[in-house]
Amino acid sequence: MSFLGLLIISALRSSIPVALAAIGGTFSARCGIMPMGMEGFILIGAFGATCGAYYSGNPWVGLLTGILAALLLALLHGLLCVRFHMNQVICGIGINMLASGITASLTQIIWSTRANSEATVSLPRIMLPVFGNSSILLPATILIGLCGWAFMFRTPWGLRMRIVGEKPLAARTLGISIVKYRFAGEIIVGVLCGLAGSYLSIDHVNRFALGMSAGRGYIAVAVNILGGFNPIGSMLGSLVFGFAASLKNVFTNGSIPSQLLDMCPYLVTILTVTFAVRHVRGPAGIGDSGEG
Amino acid sequence: MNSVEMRGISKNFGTVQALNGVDFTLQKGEIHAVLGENGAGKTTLMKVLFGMHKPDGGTITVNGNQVMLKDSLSAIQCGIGMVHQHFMLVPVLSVAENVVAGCEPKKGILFDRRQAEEEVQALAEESGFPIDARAVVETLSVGQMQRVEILKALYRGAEILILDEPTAVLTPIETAELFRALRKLKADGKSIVIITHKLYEVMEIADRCTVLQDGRLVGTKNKMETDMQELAGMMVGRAYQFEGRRPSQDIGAPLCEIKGLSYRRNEIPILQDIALTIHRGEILGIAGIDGNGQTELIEALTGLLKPDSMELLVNGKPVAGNAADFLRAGVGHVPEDRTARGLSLKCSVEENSILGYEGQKAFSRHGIMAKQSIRKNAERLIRDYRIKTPGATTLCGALSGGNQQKVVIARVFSQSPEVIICAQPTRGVDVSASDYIHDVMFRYRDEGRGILLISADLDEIKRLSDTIAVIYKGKIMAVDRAENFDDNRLGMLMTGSVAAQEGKE
Amino acid sequence: MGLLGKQKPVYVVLRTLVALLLALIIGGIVIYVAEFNPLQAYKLIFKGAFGSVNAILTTLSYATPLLFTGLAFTFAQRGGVMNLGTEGQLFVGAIVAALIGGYLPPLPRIFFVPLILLISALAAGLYGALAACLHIRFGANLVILTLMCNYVAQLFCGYLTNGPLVDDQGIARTAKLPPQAQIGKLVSGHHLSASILLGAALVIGVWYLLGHTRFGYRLHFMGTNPLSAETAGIPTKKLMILTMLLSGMLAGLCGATQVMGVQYRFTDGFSSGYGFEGIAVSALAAGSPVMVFFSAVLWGGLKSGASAVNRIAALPMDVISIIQAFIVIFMVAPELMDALCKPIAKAFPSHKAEKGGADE
Repeated sequence: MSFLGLLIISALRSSIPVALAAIGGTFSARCGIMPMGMEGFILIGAFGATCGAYYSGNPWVGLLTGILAALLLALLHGLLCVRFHMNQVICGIGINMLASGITASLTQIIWSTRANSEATVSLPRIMLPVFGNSSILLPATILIGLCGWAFMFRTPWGLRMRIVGEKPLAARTLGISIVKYRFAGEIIVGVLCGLAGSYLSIDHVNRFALGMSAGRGYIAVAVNILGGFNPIGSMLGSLVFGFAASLKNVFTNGSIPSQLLDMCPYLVTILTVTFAVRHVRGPAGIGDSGEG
Repeated sequence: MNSVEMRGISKNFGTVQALNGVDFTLQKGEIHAVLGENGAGKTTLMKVLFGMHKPDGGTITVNGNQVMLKDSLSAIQCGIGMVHQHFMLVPVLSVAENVVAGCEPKKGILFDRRQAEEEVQALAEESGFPIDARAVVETLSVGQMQRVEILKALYRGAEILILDEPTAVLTPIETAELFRALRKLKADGKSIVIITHKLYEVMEIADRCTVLQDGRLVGTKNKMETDMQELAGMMVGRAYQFEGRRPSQDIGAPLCEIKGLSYRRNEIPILQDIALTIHRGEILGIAGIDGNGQTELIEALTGLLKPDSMELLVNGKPVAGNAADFLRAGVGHVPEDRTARGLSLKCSVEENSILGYEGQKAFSRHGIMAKQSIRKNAERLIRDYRIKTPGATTLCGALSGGNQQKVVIARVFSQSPEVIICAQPTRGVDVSASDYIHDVMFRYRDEGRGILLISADLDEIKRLSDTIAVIYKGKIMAVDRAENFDDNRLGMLMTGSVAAQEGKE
Repeated sequence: MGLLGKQKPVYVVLRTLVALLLALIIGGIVIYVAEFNPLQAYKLIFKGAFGSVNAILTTLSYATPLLFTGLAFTFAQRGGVMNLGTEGQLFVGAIVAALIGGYLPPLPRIFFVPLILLISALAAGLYGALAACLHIRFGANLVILTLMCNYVAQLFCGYLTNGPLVDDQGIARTAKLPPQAQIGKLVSGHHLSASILLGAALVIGVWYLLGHTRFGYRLHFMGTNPLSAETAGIPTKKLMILTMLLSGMLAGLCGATQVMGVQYRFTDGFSSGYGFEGIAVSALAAGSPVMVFFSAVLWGGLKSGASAVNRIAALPMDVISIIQAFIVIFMVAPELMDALCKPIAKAFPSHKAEKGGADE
């Protein structure tokens, strides 16, 4: 395959988890919760998926447990931020610490080493017309992005969600439940981060590794801003990071040290949040409880 | 039949009793004014009716049925709509989206935008609030936004419409339009409540009027059977007074001169060539309807905003730079919103009592805070300015609004700046505290210094000012001795109706 | 928020204790899942942490890095700045210390050690201030920036140690520091470094800076109401950059002292996430620099105790992170703790003022 082709395929592959998380993040942000906990949701999703697949021998069960694990953590995040009005950034950091603690402990308890799990089954792959042999989550991501966009901008519930995120007090005076919509946002971000985590552990590779989310949750927050808090924008924005991340897979001959290549997505994130997103306006009601 | 009957409504916020056994009835097809001073409980009462506050006691009957309004949704379902003073609109959405949100027309599972726009457009035309349903709300004028708010209520089938201080933000023409539309709604059989503290509005539009004072019901009157004098007396609980006036005995030399102050934002002129002179022993009051450039005037005169052009002389010396330079040059600042700019509620009284002056020798030396003298200073201010607080280390957030304001006043006045830019000094402050604050201002002036008073409360301007300047759309319409103004002339100037004849003195 | 009301200090202390207890119980559940008796495990951990002079010294050596990062986070938070970049800043501090100490001709120790500390702290501080500058100049999200800076610093250090600086045995570490660049041991016969004294001095320094200086006064207003600070003529932007600089310096000292007092060289992965652990330290200390000391010692004790237990049984060390996470959650969500402590709260009535209410 040509160099460019390889790069594109590799970039797409690298952007799937970031895209999934970022699409979820748009929903969370649009209803007023800054999704700083995505890093943890992805990590615990990856772990949950590995556990499910490992014990059942069925990757689909793994996918389900991955989603469930992330969903549970997202609901905890929702409980803290929505019900108890915790600072959303600190809450996210706490959730991420929790996820890394839980996954590392349980990996050690189950597999007697904290570094990584044993190998397990992974999701089947499908043949696609243009992309060739690819992950089943690639078309799923695109579909989710499109549906997410339609939901957010073309349905009444999407409209209400945006009102909750822009001006919670206005939502309250319209009889729209802030709590309900914010929890809905948490559920969506939890499920999608669960998918993103499952992709990492039982699709991209076939095992869980310590800290395998590697900042993708944080990058997804940046992608969110870059994509204008729009599911399709987030999908496209994640490609930028996909390219940056896939450089490693292309320059495999060792001409450039791997650590420097690994730095690329993070550097690209710094550059984009600094220079490319100056005019993006976030939902005005982030962090606003809408009470009083 | 009565549309609404509220009986014995009580509501506490912490230890503050906002409403105390208030009765209120709204007849079908009337316009009913709820009148009272700031903090009298008008908005709280109406928020109870709109389900935003749960009452601690009392019953509410709507159209003969007793109801439990647990949230706004249940109020909406009872046919109640409320137009808030601070608009509940989402600026980035269109008019139609704002209006239909919560009960959107659907096509399958999708939101039917076109139908929403058509419905809203039709509703707007027929109810007398013409507006473009497709416009994005943040591009609208304040008056148009208010129409959107009213349409929101009407779209939900409101039969009872509550408007919270609807004219505070409107120009006279917009006010006239609003009143015309409200009369039409009344003719259609809607019942309307207007919260206000403006007496002439009551006389103009209301059928009946309920007066509140300090969370208690004073009485309900038919407009036909009362007059402004009586209502004013009911509102403040004492004879309506202009006796509080204490004109300056000795207006001296110019102290602070403002020349050529202009400021444009996004190419729109906000302040236009303002020239004012504050003399020693003078309170110069700026009269004007909120939003005519007062905020920018304050910010320009305190170094918070860099105007396009301004020459400011204090005692003949030019002042320029940032906020710290202005403070050092002897320009004191009582900010218009104490919780936003005046104080930090999470800092103690003593910390707040030196904010802005922490660099002075008395309070810090070589960067080290002089804790003892700060404490002494705070205790002196608490005593001198009668600030009710458990102690100097109490957080300001634990004080009442009036005492928070006294902390700001005490801080600024005790530092004896040459001139004080004093904005809304008694906003949201109870009557006794506000009398005290006025007293402080008079005494300060009598010491031979100057005050620039900016207030939305016209009565306060009339009571305190020796000279009044009227601002309209960022222009000074007239400057004259206070006794040369009557309500009529002030009103005309504030609304820009006599621009041509009068000009500047 | 519960912050407005004046709550009795006794209640606040009790609430903190309940938070700690709850977090330990949750940690105990994980220990139970790992098929250990939680009570037994905690007893062993406590013994391992504080059971002997030697154990206490080990605890203090675990507490030392946390002292610096905990202070760094507490300090920045006082000014309303959330410095999530301490991890990256401490890497910068560590690598700079290792480079100067390991590769430059040594000076006499009395000059060399303070010089290295100062330069490495400055480098780390500038790394933090850079993020603040980008935030102020371009409006970039500071949280994202600082988090990304963590990864960049770690990977760049990894590149240096694996690439240009890799030693002849092919191990990813810098050259050993000469004795002139080493911080000595506090007591002979134990590896506890004397840098804990520096940490303790900084605790007092930060306490004084925040509580008794004009800088601390202004920082407090910026942290609680930036608009009021601006109105009072306080240069909030400069102050924010300065805050990140100083906070980054504190974090940088964490890295530098680990290199100069413990490892004597930079090894890849020397930090067990001291930066984020610092957030937990700071959370338990509830914003008080003096409490940071005790909080750091407590976490140090948990870590040293757990590692002592780990030597005899395969107790998962990461239980500590779970406990830390819950401390962060419990301490930063006072409303949650109020709900959990309802019976205790009743005994200490507070005068919380409900928000909103009366007319404007």
